[in-house]
Amino acid sequence: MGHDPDRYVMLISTLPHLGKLFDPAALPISRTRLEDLLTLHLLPEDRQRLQRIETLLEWAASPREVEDTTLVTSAETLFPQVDSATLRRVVRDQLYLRTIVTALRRRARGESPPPSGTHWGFGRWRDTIRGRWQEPTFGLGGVFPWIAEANTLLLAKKMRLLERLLLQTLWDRLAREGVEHPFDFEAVVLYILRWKLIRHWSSYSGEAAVVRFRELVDEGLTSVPHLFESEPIGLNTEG
Amino acid sequence: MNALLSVLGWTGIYAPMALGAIGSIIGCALAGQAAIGAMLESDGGYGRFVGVSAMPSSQVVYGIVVMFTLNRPVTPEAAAGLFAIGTLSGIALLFSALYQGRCCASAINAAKAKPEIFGLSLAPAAMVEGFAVFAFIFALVLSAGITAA
Repeated sequence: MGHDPDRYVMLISTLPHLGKLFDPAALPISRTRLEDLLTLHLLPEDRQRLQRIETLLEWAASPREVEDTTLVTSAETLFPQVDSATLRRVVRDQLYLRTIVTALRRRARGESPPPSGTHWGFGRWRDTIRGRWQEPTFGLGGVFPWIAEANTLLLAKKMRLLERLLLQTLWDRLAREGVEHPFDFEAVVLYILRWKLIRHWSSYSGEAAVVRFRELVDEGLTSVPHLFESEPIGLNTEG
Repeated sequence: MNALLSVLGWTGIYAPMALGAIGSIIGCALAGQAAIGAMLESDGGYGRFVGVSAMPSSQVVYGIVVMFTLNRPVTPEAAAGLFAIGTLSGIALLFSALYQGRCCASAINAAKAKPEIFGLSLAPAAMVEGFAVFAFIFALVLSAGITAA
């Protein structure tokens, strides 16, 4: 790729340590400050790479169900443009998770499997899910151990616990990938994704309202750059 | 043939210093960038961040000592030994400095969030330093066996 992997050492060292996922007071940096640091340290091509990943994950977090042909086609077009194997794995797994959660929700509502040939999700597991629709884990429990518990929580309508499970699954995934990437571009992206998980969870808690208020005050209630306009990790389990 | 041996011999003499310097340059730059980044986010402990970032500079010192130890008239008999010991010890010093720089950068990054682990976080960098010392010491020991003239 021609990138100097050590170019991001200073940026990574400038970013404050991320605390625990479910600690509502743990958001250590405001999005304005984070955006400032990214603007200061990332080259334009890095911003473009980041933007591609953002776009993909915004699709994964879309409140709409994963059945919009345009969105799915767009994701399938953008995905190969992610030029890091690590980040492709991360994005792919998040898209898989979104696809599976969508299927679980549809089944919980008593719907039939999506018709063959329709664009309703991402990746290789679509046919498996459709073919094994009535199995609790769609036959994917070995690959995605969290499905069984997610299905149980969904059927019990414990949406907060379901959200917690899914966020923890994503968090663990990001943490595993982060071990191999202490100071490169992947580390920057993984940091941002983990920051968004904390931020997303904090939007659920009462204490987080205070954090969010402080953040808005810090930002001077100014408009926020496009990068952070949406809630890219939102899993929309309330559906 | 003698000219080639002469080139190899002189390469071996200068290699530990040059390669050690390259490693120290990269290692100190990496750790230094981490130190600067950490200083932006921390309210104190700046001195120790900078101190740690200088750790990979020891390799160039080892390289200089090995260079002076190997420095002797380059003869066809001595050239192969000079080249082998000088080049290999230089490569070892280069990589040890480079990876020590990464260890130091990680230590600085970790200590920024959790100052109480500062000392322990330097253990990996110290271990890497130990391997550089091995390369250094045994280069000195083996250089005694190279024909002087």
